Amino acid sequence: MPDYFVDINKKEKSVRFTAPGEIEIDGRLYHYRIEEINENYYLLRLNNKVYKINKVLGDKSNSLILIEGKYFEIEVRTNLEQKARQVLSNVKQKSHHSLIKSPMPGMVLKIKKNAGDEVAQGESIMILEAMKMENDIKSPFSGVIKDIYVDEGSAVEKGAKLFLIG
Amino acid sequence: MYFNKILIANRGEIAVRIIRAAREMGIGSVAVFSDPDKSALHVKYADESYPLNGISATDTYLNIPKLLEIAKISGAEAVHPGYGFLSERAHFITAVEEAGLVFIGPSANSVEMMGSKTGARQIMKKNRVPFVPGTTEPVEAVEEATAFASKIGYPILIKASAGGGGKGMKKVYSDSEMEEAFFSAKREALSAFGESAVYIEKFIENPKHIEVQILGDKFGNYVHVFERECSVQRRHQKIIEEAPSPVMDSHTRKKITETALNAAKACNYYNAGTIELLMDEKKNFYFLEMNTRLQVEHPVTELISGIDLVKEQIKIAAGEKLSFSQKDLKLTGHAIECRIYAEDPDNNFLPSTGRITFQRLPTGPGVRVDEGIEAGSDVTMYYDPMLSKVIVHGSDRHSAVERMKIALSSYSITGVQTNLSVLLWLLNNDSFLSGKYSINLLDNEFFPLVPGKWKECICEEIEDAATAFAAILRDHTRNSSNNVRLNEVMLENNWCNEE
Repeated sequence: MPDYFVDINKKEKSVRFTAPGEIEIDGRLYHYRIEEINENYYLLRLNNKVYKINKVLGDKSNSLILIEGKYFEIEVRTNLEQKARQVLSNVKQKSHHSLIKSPMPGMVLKIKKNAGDEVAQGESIMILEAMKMENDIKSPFSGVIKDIYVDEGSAVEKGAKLFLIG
Repeated sequence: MYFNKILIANRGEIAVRIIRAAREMGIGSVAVFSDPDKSALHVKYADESYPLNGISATDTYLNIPKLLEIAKISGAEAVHPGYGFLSERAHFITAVEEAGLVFIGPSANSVEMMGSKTGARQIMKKNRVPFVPGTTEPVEAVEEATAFASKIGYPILIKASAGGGGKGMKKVYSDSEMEEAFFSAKREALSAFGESAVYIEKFIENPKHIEVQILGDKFGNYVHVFERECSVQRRHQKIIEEAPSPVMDSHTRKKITETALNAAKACNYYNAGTIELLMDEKKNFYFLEMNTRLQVEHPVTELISGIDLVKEQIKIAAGEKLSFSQKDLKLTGHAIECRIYAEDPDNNFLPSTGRITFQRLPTGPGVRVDEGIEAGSDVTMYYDPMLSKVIVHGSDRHSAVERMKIALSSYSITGVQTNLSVLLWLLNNDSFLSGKYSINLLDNEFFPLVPGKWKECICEEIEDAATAFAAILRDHTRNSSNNVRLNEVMLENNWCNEE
């Protein structure tokens, strides 16, 4: 039974701590040593290779890390969280809604769709102005727009609700 | 002594770059800063710094009366505008000169002639410099735009007359897209440059972006400092630049640099300037525009020529003659620059804002970093999200590419996401490596792999390292009630395995 399930760039891996200083990832066994240089910068020794690891953003279960110029989006789940997720994903399949939040602070310049419109994946929904550029906000998947929470001309913070798609 | 003190009317890496040059010449530096920039790197670097009191660019770095007042109070004798902001505003140059100060850059007259892209095209036409077919006057109405587009044929580009950096630029394939693109370009132009005039240009398929660096003094002496290739662009924003161009032959170089010098002479140019051209697959080239200022990518030219362009700018402004002639200039090796932007590649390249929590810059032989931020700096939505530039020099293109890969792999930065991984993807891309890439490289080869797919070549070993790291950290938080540092825990438990 794995100790943790790890999603890395959307691929799932299972992790087991087999002994002190020993980790098994999808059946591959490694010796490790880790050193915290500061809370954002770590040295990880895996068998005989040393990785310099940048913890770019994140909390205890979700993080963005940078190793050798490559970014990894990572989610770590305990056994219990994995089970909860399976239950939730069953529920999710019935009501297929997704809330799109603003990826950055900015100003809503133009809204191209109305609630009730059908949109295809990658279709532009609105234009958000930030850092002097007009940024196209595209739909992450195909569906129907259930609700739009902002108006043209309104300023939005990072994480503000933009629209609901389902 | 050229000047006692200069004011730098800019921010970020370019302000730091100019301060460094001034300091090496024994010239004092005066920095200015907006409220969000109060503890920015350029402020700490400068000898003196003054607040501009405000947030928006209009209230701060574009505020001419405030800048001139600070110049007066501080006793600065000259003003360096950097790039962007006021660097290509003729009325700023006039205001600086009327205040009794020296502008480190060209004359207001040259900027006026070249600053309006449509005006520049008229001058080029008169001086027989080849340019891309399009309007020589701004286009006022969308109907006029549609009529002209059908005359020269789609696709066309709508471009801001006062523009640069891809702001206010839209590509249009058909009549039906015209209206939205036209007004969007005008809005962007207005907010970025303070005027909404746009013009139309025929779109050339698969061109390379080649530009020629020139220097001219106030006595009519000119040199070119070779060409740069800046074809790796995203939304017309350059991200990788190199010098020389990997496809340049000596015959074409001779023609293109002559064209550039003619263009500079046509507007009686002095100081550092850049002539941008498009070059098609048959090496025909067309004048695009002249940038009457220092370019972001100037360091690649510095590395292959040994010329410090910022110092030359200051000397020319002080009334010095060029101390070298064309035959003194030699092109040595190959240089590449990568621009590090705070942005999220898988999320439509949206800017990533936040506080830089940690930074460790690449070092080593032939590696230069022009940085605008440090740990503790805030990346805000108010300004351009470029954080720094990594520039490498090698004996040939291959060694420069390898050097850049190592430099980018060892760049540590946390708190915001960057385009580092995209730059590395590009440095491993076959078209880039062959040198035969065009400005459509990202559109043709990268964007079809977004989101996510472009990352699939990452090897299992490094994925396992990332996985192990995240699991170890989570396990540590779960099992320790206090804030013990990771390595300390291990020592206490005697987890160290001796290999």
